Amino acid sequence: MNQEHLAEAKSLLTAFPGKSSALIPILHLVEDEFGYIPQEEVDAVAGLMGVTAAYVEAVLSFYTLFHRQPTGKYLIQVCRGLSCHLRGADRLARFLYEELGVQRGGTTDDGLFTVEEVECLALCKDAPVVQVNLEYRPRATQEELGRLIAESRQEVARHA
Amino acid sequence: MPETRLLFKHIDVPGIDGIEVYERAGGYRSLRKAVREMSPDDVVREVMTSNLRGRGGAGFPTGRKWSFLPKDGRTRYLVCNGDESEPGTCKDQEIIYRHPHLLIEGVLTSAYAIGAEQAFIYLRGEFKGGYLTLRRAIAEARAKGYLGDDVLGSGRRIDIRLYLGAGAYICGEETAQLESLEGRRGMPRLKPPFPATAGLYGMPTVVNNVETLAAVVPIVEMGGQEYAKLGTKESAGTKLFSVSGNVRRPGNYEVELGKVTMGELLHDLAGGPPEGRRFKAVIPGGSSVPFLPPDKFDTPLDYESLRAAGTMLGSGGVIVLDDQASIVDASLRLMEFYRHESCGKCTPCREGTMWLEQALGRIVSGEGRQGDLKTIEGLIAHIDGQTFCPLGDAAIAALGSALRLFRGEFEERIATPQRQLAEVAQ
Amino acid sequence: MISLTIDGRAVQVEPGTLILNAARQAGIEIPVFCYHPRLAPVGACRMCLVRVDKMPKLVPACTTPVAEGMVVRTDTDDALQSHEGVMDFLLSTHPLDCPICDAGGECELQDNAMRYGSNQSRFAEPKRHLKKATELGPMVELDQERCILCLRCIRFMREEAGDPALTLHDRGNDTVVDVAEGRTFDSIFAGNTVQICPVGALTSRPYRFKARPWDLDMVDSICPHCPVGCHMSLSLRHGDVLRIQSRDSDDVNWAWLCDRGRFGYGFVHQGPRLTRPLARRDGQLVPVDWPEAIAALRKGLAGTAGALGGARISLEAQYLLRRWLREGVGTDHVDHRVQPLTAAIPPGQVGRIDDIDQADLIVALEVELLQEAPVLAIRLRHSVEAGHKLVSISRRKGMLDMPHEEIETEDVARALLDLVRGGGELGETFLHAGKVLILWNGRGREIGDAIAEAHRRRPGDTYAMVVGSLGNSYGAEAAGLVPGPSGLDTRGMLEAAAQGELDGLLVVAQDRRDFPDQELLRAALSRVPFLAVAGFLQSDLTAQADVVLPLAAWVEADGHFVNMEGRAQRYFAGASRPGEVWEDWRLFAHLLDYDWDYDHVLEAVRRDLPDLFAADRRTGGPSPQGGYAAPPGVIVGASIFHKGVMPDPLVQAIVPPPRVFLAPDRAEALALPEGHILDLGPGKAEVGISPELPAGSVMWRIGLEGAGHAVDRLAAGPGLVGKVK
Ligand SMILES: Cc1cc2nc3c(=O)[nH]c(=O)nc-3n(C[C@H](O)[C@H](O)[C@H](O)COP(=O)(O)O)c2cc1C
Ligand code: SF4
Ligand code: FES
Repeated sequence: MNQEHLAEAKSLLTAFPGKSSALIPILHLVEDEFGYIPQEEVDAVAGLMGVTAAYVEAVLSFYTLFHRQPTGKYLIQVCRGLSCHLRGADRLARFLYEELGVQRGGTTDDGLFTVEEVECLALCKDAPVVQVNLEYRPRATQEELGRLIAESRQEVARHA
Repeated sequence: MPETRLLFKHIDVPGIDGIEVYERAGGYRSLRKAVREMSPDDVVREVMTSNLRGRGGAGFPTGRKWSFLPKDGRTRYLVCNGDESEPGTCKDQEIIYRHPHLLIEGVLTSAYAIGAEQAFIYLRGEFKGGYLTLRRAIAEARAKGYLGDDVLGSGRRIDIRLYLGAGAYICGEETAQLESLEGRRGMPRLKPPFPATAGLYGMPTVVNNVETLAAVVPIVEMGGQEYAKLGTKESAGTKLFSVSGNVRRPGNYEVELGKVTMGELLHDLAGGPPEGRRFKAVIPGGSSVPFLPPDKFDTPLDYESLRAAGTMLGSGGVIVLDDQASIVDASLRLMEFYRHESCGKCTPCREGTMWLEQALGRIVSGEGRQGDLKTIEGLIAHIDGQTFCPLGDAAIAALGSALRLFRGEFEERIATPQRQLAEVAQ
Repeated sequence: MISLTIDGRAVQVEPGTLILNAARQAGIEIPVFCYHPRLAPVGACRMCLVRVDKMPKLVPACTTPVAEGMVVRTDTDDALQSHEGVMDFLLSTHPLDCPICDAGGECELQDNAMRYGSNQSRFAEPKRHLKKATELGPMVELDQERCILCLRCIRFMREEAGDPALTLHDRGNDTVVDVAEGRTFDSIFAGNTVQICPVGALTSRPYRFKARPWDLDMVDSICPHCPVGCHMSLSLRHGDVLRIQSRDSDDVNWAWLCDRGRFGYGFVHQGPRLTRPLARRDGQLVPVDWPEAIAALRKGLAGTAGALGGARISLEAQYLLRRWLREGVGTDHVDHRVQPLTAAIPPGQVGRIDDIDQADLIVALEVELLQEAPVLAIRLRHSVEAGHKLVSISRRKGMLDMPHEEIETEDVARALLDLVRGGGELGETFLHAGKVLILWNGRGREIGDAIAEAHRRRPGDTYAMVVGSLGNSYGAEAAGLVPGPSGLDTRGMLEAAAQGELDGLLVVAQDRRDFPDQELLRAALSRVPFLAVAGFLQSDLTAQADVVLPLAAWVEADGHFVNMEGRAQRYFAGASRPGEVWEDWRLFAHLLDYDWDYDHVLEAVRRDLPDLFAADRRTGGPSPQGGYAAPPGVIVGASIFHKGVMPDPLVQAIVPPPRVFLAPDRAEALALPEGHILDLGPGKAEVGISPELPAGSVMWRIGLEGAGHAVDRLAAGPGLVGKVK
């Protein structure tokens, strides 16, 4: 973890009535920083929390928002909840796979995009719903997603 | 049929997510009234009188739940359940994202009532935006003295901590949520002990849904008796219904319980079926309840009536299927959800959802076999009422009713050869 | 008592009894998987659902307590169907590789399938493929496909061992049991998970493919390795021990063993054992018959003689040995305390292991439980979780792996005395606690005196136990294997021998590595005219001896070990005795010219040492005298996992290499880095730098090859370092 996250992690240790509660917030910090939870960080977090690495793995592997493999700069999560399913989520997902040339859960070779299909995102009234880095895209359309991909690519190219 | 807006009275006011606008609209009056003019027990009494029932799904009377806390001087906690992961449900989301101060006021007032100095709002991990919104709103409220070490000069400490889950439907179940809050895998705990006696960190704890706690604000404002006049005797007050799927105007609608029928909700408020289509069925209470067919759309929306109609009000997530939607596909989609979200602790849910998913998957892809429906019914019987927590029952509720109401659709799919299905798909 | 009916039978049970156990008491079997009598119920597998009147759903018998007037039925259609359903579910993903599974014949899935399963599975979907035959650690192998996720292993590791080294990974149908990525299952309690696994998912590597359970003889035994005296059961075939399992005991070990106990039998068959008496003829050690060996022994000990050791043999043998030394040899020079130990019987009143569950205050004096009496850590953790207070007083930090208060002090006796005299908050607690239990590692005379003082201060409910001794040190002390009024202790005897003042020495079941001062031992042995060694294993001590008397190991003989509570516990002969070895008691009975069989011996022991067989509480020993005193700045620890002590081929994999620990300032002064290999003459040891140690000190553990000045001097000053390479 970087210095800032490490300091925050340490302050989390005493932020709750029970120290154990700090684990998931700390794992969020790691996931935010790396886009996944590398093995060294599992050990570091275990050390910080005073628990075994197995314990940390047990917890993080229960939750879908923690990844064990690197994810793209943009994590695109397509809701496939029933409400979104009824309003064309499948087509959106298929569009993304074709557009980005990845399979479900896969990351583009340039490391920019990861596409996942996820369960109900609790915005059913605005189906179909997509989240990009946990930000909602209500009533998502292929055009909009296509634009997003193009813009993100340009943005990255500019910075390169 | 108009809406009856209590919670959403001001939701469309521009800037209502900021504290100034919220205050101008009468915000934090209930908290002030509670803290300045009422004892905690007074507040509990008002909530009892209001007949408010939990909006998280089970519909348990909120005042009764609060009264279970043992009076033994131990630290108490309030946990606001903002996990909202029940498919078809998006009402808490709107409160959190658009009306954060209403929730904060509800949490603070309720924490005051039950004597909790520390409240937690557990948000599903995907509500990161809501987390940031609430964080900002809490800072505003703190600056104004609504929470912190000395709430409104009363000398009482009430604080709120936000907690972000990390992707697991089961963490909406209250004891799994407590496990998750304590930094563990979200697997439900054995009950008893119930959270009221041994909850978070082993201390007496109340877990309430976002909408439930938000409703405490109008209850304190108007008084329990007035609130109880809304709705029916057993189902008092207003309720948010999330309408989604095949309707013209999907959205969250707040209506008086028992005063509006399903048909009225779907036609008058949600605009009816899409052009040229007809309704086939709805799942009225989030994906965990049985289907309601159109011939029962005259059922009033309240706990008792929906139960009498063979389904449940649940979380109020109304998923609408029109005549072009496939019940078989929907059943598979739901089973994939439950299989994915089963925590894995108990055998029937862990293995049963997997088995059902595979069997349904075969039927959907045209590899169904004679006898599959019988197997599925057998599996349902082996899950029904036998799992550790209600997720198992939830997983089979819609499927069981689908087999009863739309058996023909399943049989037809099994009878259709794979080749033909592929052609249809093209 | 609560009255209820189960399947029409009237049953009366204690309040709080689970339906499952009420049914068992009535002779009605309800099937289970996740339930284990020593683990907190979880109700996860759903195998045990039964019908209870007025309940809307079937209820789990394993988590539901009885209620007055309850009507339970285990045989309704829906209950039977539910059992069948769970079987169907579990078998649906099971690989069904029973013919090659080590659990075959003692598999609860097999058993329940026979009784409760349907005869055909409806599962038509492909089975899942997971890790098979994976080495989890040196002792345990994992087959994930066979796992039924009863969570017993996980619960054991978390709730009992307090070490979640094995956990669940992923969730739902993907859930598997595993260790952390890239780690091994290196808990000293790992073996327990094998025993409680109801199927063949966790199996024992040493036992792998060795036998089928129906071919095995089972014999009750007691663990010899530490003073807890865990109850165990030997699995034997053709007189060979193939496996050791724990035997449930409320009083002692519950259902658990540590891996030293569970796997510590390798030396019995893999040796190197002594199998024939040996005697020195013309400078050569040659096989002789027993009468000749015994004659040589009598002759060699005829002058001024002494005896060392005896804490590893049976109580029966200890008793006879003491009598022979007094009556036959006529010496008072005897000491079982070869290893650094002051007393095995504490002064005051001797506690009982179940006091751990009840004591309001538990004071641990220099006790490193996981090293010296591991299984007690499980009980102690539960006690602490139940709210009982635990205090560790020690020169080192980090002695216990559970929540406790720590008093770190140079002078443990003084700190205890302060507390005993009511000093501070703890002192108040001490004076007013209902029951106080003191756990002591048995080393240090002043600490023994302080314990005596504690008992004088509050003579009622104050108890003590020595956790840091050998398996039968208590028996040795109770039988009198300590210096008589004019006798010498271990050090005294060795010094006398080194001065040429001792004519003969008998060493009983001890190794050179047991001695804390191996230089002194060498000096003694080089001067003493006659050395006799009785024991199980060949060693460099036996190589130096004039007479060698081969003894049966504990699994090959009947006897008793006396545990730390002063409880004589019976073990039974199971394994066949190699060569010409004798039972230990037979040797000393023979020396006393008694032609006794075992029962006769036992009768005499029971008559003369009745306390050890009494059910009630035992009075403690006198204030401890003599015994080894470490030089200043030297801390002598002990560990049943230490290399050297009873070298055992099976457990070699789980014992760390020999190490010498230095306080950081000592290490710096000596310029010794972590991991540096010290040459200690006969042995080598790795340097460990330990911030837990007090400034300037050095620590080593009993069993270290080459222990003595070379090590002790590491604490004294840079110029005095022994040969360091
Ligand atoms: C599988 C499962 C998922 C649940 N998910 C939620 C949820 O997302 N939000 C919620 O408020 N309650 C959820 N609940 C209900 C909670 O367990 C609990 O009853 C509720 O939070 C209590 O609040 P209330 O009394 O205000 O309704 C769920 C229950 C189960 C069994
Ligand atoms: S029903 Fe069982 S496996 Fe499913 S979520 Fe509940 S406890 Fe977990
Ligand atoms: S034995 Fe009762 S649920 Fe497993």
